[in-house]
Amino acid sequence: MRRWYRTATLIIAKQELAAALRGRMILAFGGLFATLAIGIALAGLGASGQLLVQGFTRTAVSLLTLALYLLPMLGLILGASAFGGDDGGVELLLAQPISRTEALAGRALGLAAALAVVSLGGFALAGVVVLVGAGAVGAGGFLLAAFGATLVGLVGLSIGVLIGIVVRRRGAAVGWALAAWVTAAVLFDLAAIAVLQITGDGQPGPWLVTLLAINPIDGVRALALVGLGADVLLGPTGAALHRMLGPGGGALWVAGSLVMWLVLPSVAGAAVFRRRDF
Amino acid sequence: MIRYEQFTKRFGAVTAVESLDLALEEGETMALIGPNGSGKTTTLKAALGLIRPTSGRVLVEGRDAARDGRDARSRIGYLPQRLVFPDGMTAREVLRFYAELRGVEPELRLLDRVGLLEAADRDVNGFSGGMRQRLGIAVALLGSPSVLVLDEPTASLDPSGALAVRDMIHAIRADGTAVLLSSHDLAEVAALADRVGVFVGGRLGALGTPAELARSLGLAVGTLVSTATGLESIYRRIAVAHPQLVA
Repeated sequence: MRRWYRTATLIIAKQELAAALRGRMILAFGGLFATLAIGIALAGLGASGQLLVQGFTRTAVSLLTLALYLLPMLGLILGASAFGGDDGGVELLLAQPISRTEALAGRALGLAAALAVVSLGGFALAGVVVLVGAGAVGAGGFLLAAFGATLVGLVGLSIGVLIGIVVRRRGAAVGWALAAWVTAAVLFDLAAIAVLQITGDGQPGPWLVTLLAINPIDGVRALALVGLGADVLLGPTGAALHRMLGPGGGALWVAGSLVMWLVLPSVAGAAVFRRRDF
Repeated sequence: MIRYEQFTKRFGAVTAVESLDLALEEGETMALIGPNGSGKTTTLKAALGLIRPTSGRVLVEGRDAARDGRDARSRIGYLPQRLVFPDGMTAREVLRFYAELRGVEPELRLLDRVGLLEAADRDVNGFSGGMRQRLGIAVALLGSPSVLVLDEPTASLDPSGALAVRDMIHAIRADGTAVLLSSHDLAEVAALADRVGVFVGGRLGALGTPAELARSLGLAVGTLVSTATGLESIYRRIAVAHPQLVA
């Protein structure tokens, strides 16, 4: 009988994590995110005396904006390039006496762990800077922001894995992954503004929650702003956000959407992966 | 050991393998030859459950490769045509990784057997093609499988590398392990195989010992070992004898 830590999924996850941490992509994204995170923390400290939002809270808001662009992109590219095309490695892996679900779950878990290292590592470095320079006030909200940003990165990974499995050619898979990122991180906001203009004379309303629930990047951003108390900086929009997400109903919608975006692409990817010929 | 029963595989409108009935016996070495795209690799992969039959089935020691894939694969060691190991690992780590997946001990004697013991702690990214192929054979031998499936094991190697791999296959079959391999090298096929299956257009056009094959096609046995000219001659004669195969 195998011990739990020697199951095929964990053996593969461990190896995938080690390979990812040695890879150029994680090193590049990790280095960039860590550098910018420390920079933001230092900049936040410099200005913290003059602003209402201080220390951890101010850093969390700024860092979240960066993380919600960078981490979904990393997740999408990481997943699409790992599963797009077969360089022969997957074939040898699947020729072992393991199930396809174990192989897929192991690889995805390893990549997820690598993404979490990048995300939580960056937040941790910034956190240390803030803790030393400004104390622990607002650390809870900062942790929440780190957790939310990591979740959005994992949503990106889940979608990236699905793209890689379906598209099968690495270059094309990465292209589709980047298109998905541009849509979610850039184009969606423009479309959302247009929808709000058409449906509610530009004022936030029920449509806003719906739009936030559809796009996990915007959903987590809005939830975190409310959670951190930074919505006060956003005027009427912030007040509307607080009204809709603060008491819990809207927040549940956004949380449900996050879970859905994590689970659905994974389930769809697994279904295709199990039936695919290699 | 491996039994194909009316195995058919279609990829969309393309039929890769049609109604294949074939059995690899215990301790036997069988070589599959045929032009590119004739169905050799599809046939090999079906035994590992990497490719699912459109119809028919493939049994490995009685286990259906598509439905009981894990069980079937535990009895097979596999060397793919394109061999890629996880990035940044040493030969020892590669062996340990696949041994853990198979639930067996990472036997270092396997590295010794394929002549890589001294390179055990070297990064496999720096290995030559021949060294990678030998490491692939060591991985395939983990857990002492009863069948080895080798997809063009010497295709990308220089003559000395190919010779070393061929010697290894000789030693493996001498131990009683059944071997199913594909090849374009008739010298290799004649030297290693007890029986040869010739694929043309997704069908098994001929099957027999190298001598039987040469006789049935009206060829001198020596033709079987005279490089690509021999192969072309075999495919041409099979196509003439069985025009329906290439229709």
